[in-house]
Amino acid sequence: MIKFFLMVNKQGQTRLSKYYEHVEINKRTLLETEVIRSCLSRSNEQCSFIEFKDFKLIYRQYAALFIVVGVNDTENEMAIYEFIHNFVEVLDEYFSRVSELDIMFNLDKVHIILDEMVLNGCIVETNRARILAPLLILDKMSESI
Amino acid sequence: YLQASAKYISQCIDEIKQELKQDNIAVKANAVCKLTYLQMLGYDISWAAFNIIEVMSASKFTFKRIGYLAASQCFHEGTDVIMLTTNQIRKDLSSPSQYDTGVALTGLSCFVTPDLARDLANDIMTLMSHTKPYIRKKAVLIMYKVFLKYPESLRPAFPRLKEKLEDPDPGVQSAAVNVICELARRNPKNYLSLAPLFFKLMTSSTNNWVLIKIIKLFGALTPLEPRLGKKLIEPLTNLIHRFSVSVLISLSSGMPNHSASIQLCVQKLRILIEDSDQNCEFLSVPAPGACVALGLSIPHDSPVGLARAPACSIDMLYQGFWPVTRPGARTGASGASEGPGALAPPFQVLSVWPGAWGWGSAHVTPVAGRPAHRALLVRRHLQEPQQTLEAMLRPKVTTLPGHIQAVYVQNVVKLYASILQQKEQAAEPEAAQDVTQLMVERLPQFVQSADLEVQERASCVLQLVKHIQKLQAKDVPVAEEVSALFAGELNPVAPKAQKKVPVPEGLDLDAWINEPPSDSESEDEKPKAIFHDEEQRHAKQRQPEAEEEELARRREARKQEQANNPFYIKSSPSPQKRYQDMPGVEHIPVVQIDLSVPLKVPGKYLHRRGVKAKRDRETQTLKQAPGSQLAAQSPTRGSNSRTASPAAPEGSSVHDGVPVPFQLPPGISNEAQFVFTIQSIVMAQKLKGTLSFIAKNDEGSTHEKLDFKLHFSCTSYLVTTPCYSDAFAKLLESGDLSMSSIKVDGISMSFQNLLAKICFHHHFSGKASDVAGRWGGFTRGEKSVSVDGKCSDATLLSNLLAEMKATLAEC
Repeated sequence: MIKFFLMVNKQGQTRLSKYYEHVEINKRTLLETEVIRSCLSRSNEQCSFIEFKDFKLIYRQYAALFIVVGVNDTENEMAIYEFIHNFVEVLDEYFSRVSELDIMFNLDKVHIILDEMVLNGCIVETNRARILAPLLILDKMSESI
Repeated sequence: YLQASAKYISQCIDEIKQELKQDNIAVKANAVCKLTYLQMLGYDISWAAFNIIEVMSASKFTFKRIGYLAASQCFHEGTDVIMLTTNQIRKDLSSPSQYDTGVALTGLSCFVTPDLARDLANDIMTLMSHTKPYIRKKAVLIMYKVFLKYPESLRPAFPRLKEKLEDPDPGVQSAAVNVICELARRNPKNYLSLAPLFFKLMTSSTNNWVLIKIIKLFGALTPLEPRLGKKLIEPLTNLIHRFSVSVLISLSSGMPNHSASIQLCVQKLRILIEDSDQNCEFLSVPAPGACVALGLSIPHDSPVGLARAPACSIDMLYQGFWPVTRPGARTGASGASEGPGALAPPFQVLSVWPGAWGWGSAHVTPVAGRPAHRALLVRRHLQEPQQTLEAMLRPKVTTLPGHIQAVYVQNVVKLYASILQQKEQAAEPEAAQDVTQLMVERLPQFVQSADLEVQERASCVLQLVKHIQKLQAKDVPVAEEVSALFAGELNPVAPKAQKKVPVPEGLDLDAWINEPPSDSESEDEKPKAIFHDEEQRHAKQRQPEAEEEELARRREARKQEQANNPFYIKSSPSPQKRYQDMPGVEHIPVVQIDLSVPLKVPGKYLHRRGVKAKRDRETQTLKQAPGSQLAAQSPTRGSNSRTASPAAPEGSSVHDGVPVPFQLPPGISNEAQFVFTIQSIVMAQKLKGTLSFIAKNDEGSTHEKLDFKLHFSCTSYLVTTPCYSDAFAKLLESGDLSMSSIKVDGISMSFQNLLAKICFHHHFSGKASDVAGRWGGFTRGEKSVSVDGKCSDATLLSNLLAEMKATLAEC
């Protein structure tokens, strides 16, 4: 299962964090810094999977933003790797050419999308249309108010 | 900058607190939203828990969502206000809007506590059968969390969960698979019963991710159920051919021990390793155990190893690399041969890590063992042998298991030799002497070891080192000689090699070194005895058997061994065959043929004629005890009956007899099996036979006959097959069954006993409660029982019922 989902930029600032297993708040920042450090120190030839403490980290870099997912060993690394890309594609569709700023200013919407895709550490939906459906309805509702 | 930002943030927090005090829910929601962001940055917001709950209870979805989001981010088991959420969540779960329910479920999954789980388990269970798949999916997944927190909920929910495996919506299905895989990972035994269902899913599912999960699940289950492994081989092989990468990885770790499939895996994995995508490469360096099992070779210059190494612990590194042998080799954990090239990667790593030798921890134990000594061959490539030597001689090493210590000692000497050489070449005699002194100081701890091998090696080495010390004191260069001790490769010796060493002429390994206590047999027989492989196994069989009796007995034992093989029917035995020793003829199972019972001869006949007996040099009387002294070697005649024919040897006609393939010396019993093919089961069959044999005694031989009859009733062909209720109902409904019944009066036995008797004699299965749903209907009357039956063949049915009537009549 997925333990956590992070979006961190190159300067080490967390843009989004979601933990599927409770981690103490002070430990979280520590974890995030360590994670980003290991990701930043990787070169291009190295693979995207890192073994970190007792989980595996799967990361992907999109411009200046790293998306890192920590999983336990039952998960398939390639599956998560593709899942990260799927997530980014969904964001791209919703925000039309998503950038880091979009994520910063619409954090709650990004969370909604993530929650549609992952539940309790398991990937639950990968179809873009279905993921975005509730969000689009929500938007319509809020517009009509 | 930091100070400024801290100030700004505390300002913001004050603002937020103000906003939270206001009544406007929109403002509150916004505040909570900001709090969520702050929490992400690392600021604790648990003081706002109550406000978050307020926002969760908003009726508008947007605000509610914000509340749940904040809750999922910061609530945990320690949050004491969680209890207040129970009712709210319950309301949301039963809300008409699926999105409300959805958001509640999602949020709940992050902060469910045992209390919440207990209270809400039922609600969530009902949601698993919601009309909308959107909800069902979420409910299924959250059940896993609920199970974790509140295990008692698993039992009632489990049947529903199983149902979800066959849910029409693929999303729900994969959610169910996910949950069950996670559950099974913790406790595989309980989920073995689901294996057939998963098997079906595996073969029918097209969703790759689901397949991967299922395969992993099977990987966990196969160690518990070996038959499962065999069944899986075929579909797994198909899958390997269809898919690549991820499936393979999980397969390779879960593969049962089947060489063909392993070979296939290895082929594909080898392709992957060379793949340019480093991710593929990484994944194709499988876990230690799998690597061992697959005997993979890893390319020398692969950066994979190095990339992986820093993150791995040392033992994983070694286990991952050391069993590597030549490509194509398929040996177990430590093959007898070493591929020198394959050892390259770890050398590079070790040169980076001289400190890797500072093992003081338990890491050593899993590593060491057979790979350890090879690991330590690395000595020549080490940059810091001195440090290594010191590390290896530390007192902590004595806590390791004996065989590892033995390896250590051996390699300490090698290291020592190379250090000596180094020092002498560098013209540092004092350093060389220091090293020697170190050895002298530290070796005694091994000499005192409880393990014999360690003791022996250590004492040898200690003596050597002391001698070296003396020489060094005289300034004699010793390094060359010491290194010479290790010159040349000693190839490992196969365990059977000793046997293959030819015995030199004149050497008698069996001759007594001391005065033999008894007469020894002729010398020339013994060397022959050595080359008989079988005899080497019997330590007691040192005395050669020159006597004819012994040879004859062996021949007999061989024949009996052949006789026990039901498929062995020989037409003419050959006494030239080699016979193996049997454990003891008394252990052969006995079937007594009671000669004294007269046999009835109705019906059709099957004749078996004895024609000749095989005779050898035995001179034993055969009529000592009845029933067990037949020396019959007889081709027998085939059957006259139209419907039964024995499995006659190839090329013989129907009227030939079937030979009984053994002879019986006195006091010996034996058993032979003869296979008959019945061509029609709708009627009872009677098989009559004659066993002809020749009994030989001192006076001569007599030809005797034994008639017998075998009755095959219809019910003896009945095989119980399980029949589930819907299949059975379909069967009954189908129109092509004929019906018949019998009635028997005057039953005195109780119904249960009667039923048991019927079931036993006629090979039915069933319990009194099941009876109505089974073969026939047993209606219970006043001491009379009627049996109704339905069958596709009327003749069979009537015969069957007649037989049952006969049985019942006896009750």
